[in-house]
Amino acid sequence: MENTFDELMDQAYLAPNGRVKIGLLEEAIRYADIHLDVDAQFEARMELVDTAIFSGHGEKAIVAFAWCLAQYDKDPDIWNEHQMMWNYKWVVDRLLLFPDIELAKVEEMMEDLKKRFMQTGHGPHFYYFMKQELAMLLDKPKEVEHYYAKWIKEPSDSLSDCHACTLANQTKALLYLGKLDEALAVAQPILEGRASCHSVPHRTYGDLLLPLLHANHKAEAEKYFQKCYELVYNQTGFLEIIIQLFQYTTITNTPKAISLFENFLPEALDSDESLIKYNFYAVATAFWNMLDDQDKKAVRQPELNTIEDIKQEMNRLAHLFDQQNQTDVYTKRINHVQSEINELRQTFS
Amino acid sequence: MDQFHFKVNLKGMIDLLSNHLYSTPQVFVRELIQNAVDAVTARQKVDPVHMGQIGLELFTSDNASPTLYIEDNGIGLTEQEVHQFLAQIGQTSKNKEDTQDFIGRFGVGLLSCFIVSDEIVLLTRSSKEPKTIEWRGKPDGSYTIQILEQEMEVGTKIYLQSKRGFESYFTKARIQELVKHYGEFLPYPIQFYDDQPIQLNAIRAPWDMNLEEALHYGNNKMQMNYLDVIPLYSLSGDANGVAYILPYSIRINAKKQHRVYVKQMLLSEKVEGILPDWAFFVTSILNVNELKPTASREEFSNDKRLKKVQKELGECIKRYLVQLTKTNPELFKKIIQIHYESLKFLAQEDDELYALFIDWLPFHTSFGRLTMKEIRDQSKTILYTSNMDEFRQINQIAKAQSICIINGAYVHDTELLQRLTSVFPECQVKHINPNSFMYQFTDLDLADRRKTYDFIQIANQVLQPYQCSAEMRNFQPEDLPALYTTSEEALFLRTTEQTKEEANDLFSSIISQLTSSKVKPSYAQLSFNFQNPTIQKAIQSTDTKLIQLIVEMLYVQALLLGSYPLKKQEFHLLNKGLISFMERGLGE
Repeated sequence: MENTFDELMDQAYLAPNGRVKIGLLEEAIRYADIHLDVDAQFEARMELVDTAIFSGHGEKAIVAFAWCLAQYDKDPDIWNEHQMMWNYKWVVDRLLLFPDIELAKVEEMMEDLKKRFMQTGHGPHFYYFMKQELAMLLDKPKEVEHYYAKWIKEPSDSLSDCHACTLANQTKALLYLGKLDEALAVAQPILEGRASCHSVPHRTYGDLLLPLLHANHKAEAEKYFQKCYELVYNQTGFLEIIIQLFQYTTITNTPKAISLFENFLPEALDSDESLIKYNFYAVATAFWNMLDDQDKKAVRQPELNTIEDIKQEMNRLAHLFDQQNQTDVYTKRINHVQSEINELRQTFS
Repeated sequence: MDQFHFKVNLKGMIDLLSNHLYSTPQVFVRELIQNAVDAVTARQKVDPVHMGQIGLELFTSDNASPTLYIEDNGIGLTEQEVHQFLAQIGQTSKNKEDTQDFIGRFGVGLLSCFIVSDEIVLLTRSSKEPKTIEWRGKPDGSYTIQILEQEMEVGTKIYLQSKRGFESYFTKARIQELVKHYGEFLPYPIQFYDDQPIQLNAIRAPWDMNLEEALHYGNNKMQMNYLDVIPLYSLSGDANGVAYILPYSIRINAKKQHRVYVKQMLLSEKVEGILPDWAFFVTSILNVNELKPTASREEFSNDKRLKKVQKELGECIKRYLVQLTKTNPELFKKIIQIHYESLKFLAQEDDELYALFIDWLPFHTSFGRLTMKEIRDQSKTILYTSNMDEFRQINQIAKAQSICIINGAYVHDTELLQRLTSVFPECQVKHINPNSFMYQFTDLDLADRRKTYDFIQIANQVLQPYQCSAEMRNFQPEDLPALYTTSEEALFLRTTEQTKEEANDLFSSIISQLTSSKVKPSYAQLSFNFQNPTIQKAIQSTDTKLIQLIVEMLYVQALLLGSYPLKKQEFHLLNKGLISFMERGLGE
């Protein structure tokens, strides 16, 4: 059990994504830092980028990648160019989970990504997709439409997402734009099991739930809910999808909503990804408002954090996000989540 | 509708086979013996008392390449069968209904001979018709068939002349070695005709030996000193064999390779996935009758049956271990010492084994490596940290205070600990972190607190830029003047600071914003030890400059003791401090 670098890395490679693996890699990084072994420092950090992204710790990925990119710029021979750009892409994608970072900075980083993609002979396919995602977060439908068109027109390349992810992303955008039928047509290969990957069909199921309820397709929604829950049950790194399930069950199935709340609140509290925290809290608040006093007593809560704390933190984040993005969407969204749930509950609860 | 056929380029096909399908050219020997064995088996089906026999010989001369000759007294081929089977790739003469009696599944077998030879000459006479047939095949796919006048015994003879560059496979020693390698455990006698016929079969296969013999065999064969041998049996694979326990520990993610025979013919020495993943502490020799090899015949098709066989073989190892805890605890202890990682994996998956193993399993603690039994004997309250960094922070003082703390940062450890109360309900398992641990240290009384007030005040000012706060406590060991502890959040903050020194401006500013929006940036803590003689002297000093210097140096020293990589600022602090002390020393 010697804590040598190789031993730690071996242990890390063996471990599943999550806290244990992150801990082992961080220790390996400290070990490499003390011994100033650049290759080891680099290797362990790149592994951490990957692990952190798939364990719901985007902030750790961003920090580790920042170090690697600086080294890479000094000495491009240290790592494979394609892998470097591939990871950069993930990091920028995760960056969107932190609306507490000034919008101008996020945009600047997207431009840097685009520039580097061009320099390495790649097109702006992924860049346009990112712009479209950002517009969606800031609730700008016109801009979403604009970048969606550009993204779809652009040929994909080796830095684009996989086929399944691309279809899932298109589906999501079309749903946002209110085009349910078109979205279902695009999602066809996913729903028929012909296209899948690490996060697909999970997230497409999640994306479809509320739009299907709005269109009064309860049976279909319920089918996808079951399938989705099965896929993400007992897995780490899928909190974004869990939030969608939580929201759906808050509308349709109170006991399930309670158990989702109990099981995943600790993970949300623990998460450093601000947007995920905020989204979970927004649904949790609406969920809490919906419970009667009797039910409230039956819900298991963590000792340190009360619902009041959660509300307070949610409001703080909303203000912060709005300030950093020069908008009011995050403050407004809290009410929007609440009213959407209330409205749908009248039909489906 | 018209029907067409693809034209298959045989030369390209053979190139494909030799370069991609088979891992080595030497497999042609295996394929030849296999065909011979299958022919004998087929003949015994119609004539149960027939005594099968396979023979090989090597012809060499000074002016021609060496030629390998192999004969069998199996069922032979009729003229029609020759056309049908040897002319078409992928066609096998083995009847579909009873394929399980034969080793080969693919008519491609003979084609592997073209890897080492430019012509195959085959003489055969079937038990069904009195014709001696000569077939000559070339790698371009052309062949000739001739009915010979001469009489021949029922069976098949093949001549194979070495291609240039492959002569090394055509020596007496090599051929004998290869036949033994693949076929020493085959049920029919195989002879090599030299001046005297040499019997190439082994007397007995390891799966037919008793355990003692099998252990002896394994040790000799592999030049090893295995700890023990475990009998293996699987009903669904009709598999028999032995697993040897390795005498050294093996990397958890090293490839686990096993020596596997199919119907007594060696499939490969490097078969993976026949035993469960956790069984990486054994290597095995197995004979399997009911699993399908893939086209390369070097591994098995990954199907449901393989999973079942894997499970059944795993059960054999489990049963053995359970028995061993009762019959030979000393050996069990030795196995655990070497292979604890494998056994932890196993205990994690199986409740019964968890209860049986947990006391024996070793953990990394503040007292070194201890088994759970030894840990439980120390205290009913089991303390553990869940990551490496927390453990390192606490370790220094835990040791000095004789407190046993488990480092639960390794794979499976935390999960194993959390289940402890299911077996030992009297135990209490507690997760601790540096803060909760430091909290146990006694605070100073009021009088002492007054004495340290100024010192702590100055220390807090000095440490503020380093996101660290100061406090004074009583703790052991006395010779430790200060201890740096930090929470996960504070450590992350430290990492971000360190990264900002390296990262480009854009990333730097993003990282700053990422951390500044957190509710309350938690600080690390430097706990000074009131018991320490140097600290006692320092708090009496009235020289503010000197106290600042001391705090700075203790801070850097505490970081180094805790194995934290220094930030640039801190390196600078260390340099500045050393110089100042030197100057102070010289100045007096």
